[in-house]
Amino acid sequence: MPPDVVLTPDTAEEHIAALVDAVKENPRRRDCLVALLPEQISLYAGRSANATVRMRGYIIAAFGQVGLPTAALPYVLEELESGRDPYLVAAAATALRGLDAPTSQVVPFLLKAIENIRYADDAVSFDSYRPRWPLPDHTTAIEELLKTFAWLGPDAQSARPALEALHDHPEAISASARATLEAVLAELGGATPGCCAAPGDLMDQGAGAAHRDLAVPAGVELEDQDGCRLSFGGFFSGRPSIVAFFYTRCDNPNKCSLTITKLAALQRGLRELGLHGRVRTAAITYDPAYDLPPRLRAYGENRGVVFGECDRFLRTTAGLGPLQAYFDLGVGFGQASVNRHRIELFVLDHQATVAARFTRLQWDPDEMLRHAAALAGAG
Amino acid sequence: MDVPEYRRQVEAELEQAAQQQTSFRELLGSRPAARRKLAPAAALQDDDDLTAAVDVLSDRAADLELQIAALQVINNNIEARPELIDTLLELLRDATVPADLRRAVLNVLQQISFRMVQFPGKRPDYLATLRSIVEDPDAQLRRRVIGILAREKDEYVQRRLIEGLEQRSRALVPAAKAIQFLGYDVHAEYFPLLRRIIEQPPSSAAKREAVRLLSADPAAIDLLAALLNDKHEDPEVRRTAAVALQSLAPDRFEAQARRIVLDDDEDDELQAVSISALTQFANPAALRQDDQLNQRMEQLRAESGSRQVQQATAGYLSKHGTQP
Repeated sequence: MPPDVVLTPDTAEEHIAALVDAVKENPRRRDCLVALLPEQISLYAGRSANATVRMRGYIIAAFGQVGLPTAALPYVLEELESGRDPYLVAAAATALRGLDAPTSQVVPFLLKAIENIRYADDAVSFDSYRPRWPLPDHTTAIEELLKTFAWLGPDAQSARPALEALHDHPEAISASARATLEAVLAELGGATPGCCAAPGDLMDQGAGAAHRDLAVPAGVELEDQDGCRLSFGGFFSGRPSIVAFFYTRCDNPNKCSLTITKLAALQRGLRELGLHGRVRTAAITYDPAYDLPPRLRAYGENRGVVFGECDRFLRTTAGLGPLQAYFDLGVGFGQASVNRHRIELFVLDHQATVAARFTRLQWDPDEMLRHAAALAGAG
Repeated sequence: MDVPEYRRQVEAELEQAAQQQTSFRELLGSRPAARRKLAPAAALQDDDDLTAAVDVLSDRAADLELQIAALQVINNNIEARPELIDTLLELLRDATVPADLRRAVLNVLQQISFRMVQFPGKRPDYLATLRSIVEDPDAQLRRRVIGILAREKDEYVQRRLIEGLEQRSRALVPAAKAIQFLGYDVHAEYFPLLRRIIEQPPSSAAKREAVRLLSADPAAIDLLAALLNDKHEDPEVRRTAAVALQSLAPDRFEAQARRIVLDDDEDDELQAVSISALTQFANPAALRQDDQLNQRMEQLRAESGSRQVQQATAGYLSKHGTQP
């Protein structure tokens, strides 16, 4: 299959695998793999979460072989920071070894990935696509993470205390991973751990500006957690807002559940700063057909959200498409639910225009408070 | 409670239990008739006991009862010898080992998997082993293994289950079971397949399971409403559809439930389910104003021949009725 194949929801997964294999033969074409990473592209429409994971994992792992372009780096770091699927985490760890040169900046992401996956590790293989088990050989997410530490060499120095702590619990990892870990620690020796550069230096993960000059979408109708009907423009105009996206059936605790928990913390922070009522907070579900008002309310309350006139959870009753386009949402849909999404939080100004966006990597509630205070004129 | 006295009792019981325990080597030396009695109390006395238990477990000629006793000894002492998990995994993989023993090994591995702090390092090999035996000739073992993997939302087992539903010749478990297993993962996107199964069900159980899982698919609201409305449909399928519809579209369900309650020709159990749902979930203010429905409830309580309906109406009237 040539790398310029047209990709649609009907494209067979094997064609994607063939495309990836072709790029492995010709690494100069690697950018065509980057184009397959956004969650919202039609390739993923209608597929299951596991099918999406299969394809994305096979693509991401290939970057370890063909080199990791800068444009693919956010997807890789996201997986390490928040991913809970061993196949994708292993793929991301493998991909990092495609960087032009080792860098200490990836260390915090690798350590977070170990924390995320150490009790949920699994046997995986990138040797073929959709393998039939039993396999002659397999690797694991933890093994790939440790191999990447080995590849980092001296640049992994700042990880030494955490890796030594892991070594103190040998039962936590497999025998082969333990051998890799011991080799990494031997290589690092007993030197004083250096400090890694801030991960923010690696890629711009701070506030992104409004990406396009789109008009506030008309025809987007919303319903809140109490069943009250609103329009998008009506609710979000007049004062600044912080808007998160989520859905109640998300099964990654590092994504929607954590986002909403942090949103609740942000609400508390706004109160403490005396900004309650001057800045709206809202969470909009990706899954409006399932997330009916009682589900929205329960999900928020269970995570500490306090609802009020200016603090609401919303579902679209009309206009999900324009809303997706307006925010350029990184979300893909299967037949009945979301199959994949990134973390997404937006700051809207008084005109409901996107003033800043925090996507893919975890956002910091304190940083968000500063944005909110600045927009409300209190900072 | 007399705490010191209670403590003395517990200590005495523990001492008695310890005295009744048999070392594994004593068990080995006992006659078969005595062995049956002693096996459940087999316990580790020293390291040699554990070695003996491992030897028995690996001995193809050993008596199955003895091997299961050995397995229990290993299970109770696995924390001290975590490398024995590899031995258990080998036994589980080995199709020449008697299925009874392999099923017992699987039980032990499952216990260990959520009990033992050392297990995370073995988890990848465990899951790889399970995947390698999803086609095992022993149906019981196969079903248990697939169930464990399905609860992990395992990509491979989902793929194999879907293959089996699409091509029955490749099925690993009965269709109803496969649907149930797929249902552990709401993101498996089996919904189009479920709709096809409802149209041409391989069994009535498969149809019921398919309808049950459609409660996670908002696109199935019309289909569920149609199933609920169809008086020629299997009553159990209709009841399952009612529950699914209530989850996805409570307003629409309420209208249907009301119609069912008012209909003299409706199935008793379905009426009882509908009344209970209205009692628990409908808007109380709207119910209080619904004279036709309230009169019907009074009538059903007085006249219905179904005990379930009478109980459901009594519950409704005690919560929403106008009479004391």
